[in-house]
Amino acid sequence: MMITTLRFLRHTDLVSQFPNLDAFVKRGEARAPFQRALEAQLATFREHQPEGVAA
Amino acid sequence: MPLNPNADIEITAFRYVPEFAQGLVRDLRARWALEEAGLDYRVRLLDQQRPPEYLQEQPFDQVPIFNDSNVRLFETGAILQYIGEKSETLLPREQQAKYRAIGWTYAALNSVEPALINLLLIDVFFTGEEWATS
Repeated sequence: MMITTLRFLRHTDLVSQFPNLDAFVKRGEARAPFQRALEAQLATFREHQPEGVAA
Repeated sequence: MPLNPNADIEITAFRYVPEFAQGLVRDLRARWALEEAGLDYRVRLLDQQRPPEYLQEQPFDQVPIFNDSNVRLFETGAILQYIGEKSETLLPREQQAKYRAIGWTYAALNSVEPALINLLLIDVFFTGEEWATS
């Protein structure tokens, strides 16, 4: 839960500038179950990409 | 592979969201927990314009909801706690460890998310506004 929350600031360095938080988030994201979950969400968006929207 | 169209567990997710939200939509929390627990799930996809009756399932019109043959749930905190009860890997049985995990879940939702989500939404929707960059 905390990792998916900290990811809301992935477009900034507000979280990643803290080595402990950065390592915490990366450890979670490296897990195979996370990778499968993320890929499942993104695959749906790729499949339903509106016409004219760049990937 | 937990994604299974015949699964007992169903969650909702969006068919499509803009790029800034891809990989952040909160059905990711349910999907991740279900993957960790090894529980099969299927997904009911919703358009950005949700049908009015969806409010019966999710009073805030958000994703995900969760249902299986046992319960119908909304709010990712409740959904993750329910999945956790099914998986000792996610939620320890020993009381101190269990409530430490639950406490951190509340912390993510109540103490951390409100501030972070506002920063994200300001950066996405008010890019370039002087008050947003100062």
